[in-house]
Amino acid sequence: MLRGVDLAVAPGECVALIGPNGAGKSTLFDAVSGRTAPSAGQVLLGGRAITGQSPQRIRRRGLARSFQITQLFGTLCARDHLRCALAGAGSGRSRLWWLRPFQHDAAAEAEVSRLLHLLGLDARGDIPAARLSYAEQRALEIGLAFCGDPPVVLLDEPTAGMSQEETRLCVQRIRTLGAGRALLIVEHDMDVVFGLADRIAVLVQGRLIAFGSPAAVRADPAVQQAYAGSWAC
Amino acid sequence: MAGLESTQGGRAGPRAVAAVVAGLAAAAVAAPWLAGSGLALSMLTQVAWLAIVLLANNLLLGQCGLLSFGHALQVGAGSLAGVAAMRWAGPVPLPLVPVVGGLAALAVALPAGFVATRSAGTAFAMVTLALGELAAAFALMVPDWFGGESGISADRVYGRWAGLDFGAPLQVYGLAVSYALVSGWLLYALGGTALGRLLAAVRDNPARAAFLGHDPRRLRWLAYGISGFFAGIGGALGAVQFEIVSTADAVGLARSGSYLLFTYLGGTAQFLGPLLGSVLMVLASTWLALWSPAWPLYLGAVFILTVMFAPGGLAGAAVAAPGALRRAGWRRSVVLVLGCAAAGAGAVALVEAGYRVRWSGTAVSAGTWPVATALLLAGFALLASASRRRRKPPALAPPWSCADWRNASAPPPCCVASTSRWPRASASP
Repeated sequence: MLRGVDLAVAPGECVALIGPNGAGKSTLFDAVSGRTAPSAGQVLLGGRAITGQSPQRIRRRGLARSFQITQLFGTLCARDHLRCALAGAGSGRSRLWWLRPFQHDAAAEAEVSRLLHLLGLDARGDIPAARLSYAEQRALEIGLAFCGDPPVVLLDEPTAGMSQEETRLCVQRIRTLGAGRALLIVEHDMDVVFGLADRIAVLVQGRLIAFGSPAAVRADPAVQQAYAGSWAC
Repeated sequence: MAGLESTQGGRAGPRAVAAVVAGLAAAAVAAPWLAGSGLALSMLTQVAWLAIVLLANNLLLGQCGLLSFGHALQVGAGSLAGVAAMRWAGPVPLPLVPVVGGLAALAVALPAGFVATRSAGTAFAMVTLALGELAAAFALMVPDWFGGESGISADRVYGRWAGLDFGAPLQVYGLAVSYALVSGWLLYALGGTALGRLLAAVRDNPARAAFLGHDPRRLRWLAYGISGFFAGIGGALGAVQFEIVSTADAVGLARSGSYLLFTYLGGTAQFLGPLLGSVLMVLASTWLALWSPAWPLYLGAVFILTVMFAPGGLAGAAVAAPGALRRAGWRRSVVLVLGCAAAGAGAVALVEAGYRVRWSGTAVSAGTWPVATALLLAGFALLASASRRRRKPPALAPPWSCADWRNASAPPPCCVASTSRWPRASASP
């Protein structure tokens, strides 16, 4: 349950949302991205209300998200994933586009190739997603959120289950792909949080107890009390 | 190339597709001359239009992951429209009657699909079942419109088009095969379009498809409509062949169940699986039914065995067979085949003997029972010996385990992770 959460992310800004398990981070993501409709309150995207709208409508309006647990289409290859994501975002749609093969849209194909390269999947683009390695699946999961140039992107634990090297690569990709966008990231890895975030929001038991710069949040007594002894960095 | 693999993964190239289409067309042209008898030609015609019906069913089941218990609703609507077009709308040329059937089925499928595709899974299956039964009950309530239990008949010979009057079964066969080839090609091509990929995406993970900007319900509805159109074409061709339709039977649950069963038996993961399903369906309902009154029992047993041992159906088994035989080795494969044959023969002999004694009162020779039982047991013994697996050598234990790591100062090499990860428990305000 979320109570009195007031959070704004500006274009080009990266906000990290942290908090212990059960704090409401995923609930907040679900409410913002349309998976659940909040019983009260408003979600605004570019000043326009999107509260309670369907996920597909919110995605087409420019808010994309990734998932903590990888959500892919097992039988589709990475290239088809990106093509579906681009079509869903509405980019490059022509009349009766759905009756033509995806490959007919040269501009979209170029974008797919560019994204595959950025995700390190150039040579693995035609393999069904179920047969990709975990790190490749995570890369694709994150890449899908950036398809179609969405102005706002929510990333739910993008580095979950990754090794240090994979985490480093993931952070690098988020920086590259997320440049100029409003990013809201849920993350448990404090190295990633302090490395990426311009501001940090701390959520505990559905309430926002702190929201500010990394230094301010680190110095916040309420945060220190909530997470006594856990600031390792 | 086998099966053209369109519903679950990669697709065959254009050359393979052209080769398969050419092969099917050649087989279709040669079949009537090879078949010879009128019954065989009738069966081939049924295979052609049933192939359209089952391919349309597989658009829902294999491509979109929708288990429909009401596919016969669209097929029946097509049949009814086909009979109506032949009976009352003389100006409609007979070669276009299947298109009329398809459009009528589309008109039924769109509202039905609007209701059914609001959800997937069990709810979708139950709604389609209810819609089919509703239509069957309605057809019986209004016999003036739907012909009641006796059905509505029509005469397909009511004109000539391009020198053909379609009185001869061979001409009807040609019509059915032409529609089957075009419909099959269109349905295969659909898998390669953006829509086909999106339907696969919705089948695999509808929630994710929604978060990518696609409306899963609208896509399912579209698939339902397209499937209905092709099912209607198949149904109308059936009406052209038999010149009669009993609406309540044609749209009921039993018919939907048989379409579903044979689609599955043919194989849902391979594009050509439903074609094999249509062959099986015709063989079961004509040849097998002529051969034994116990044919539904055999059909049920084969279905259960397919679900248990070959969930990919006949087409899936054909694709997997070479690899499976290679892994099993020729000796084990021979034992398996012999075991299946012996067990099958024994079971069939027992069933037939039991049927004769119980239902026709015919005596069977005294040796039938022990021989059949011995065959069955020998078959099981062979299968048991063939399926006994070689013991694997025990795996070496790793030098450490995650349990050991709890008290260790450093993580094991496979669990390398940032040491500054957020502590997940015991945080309270």
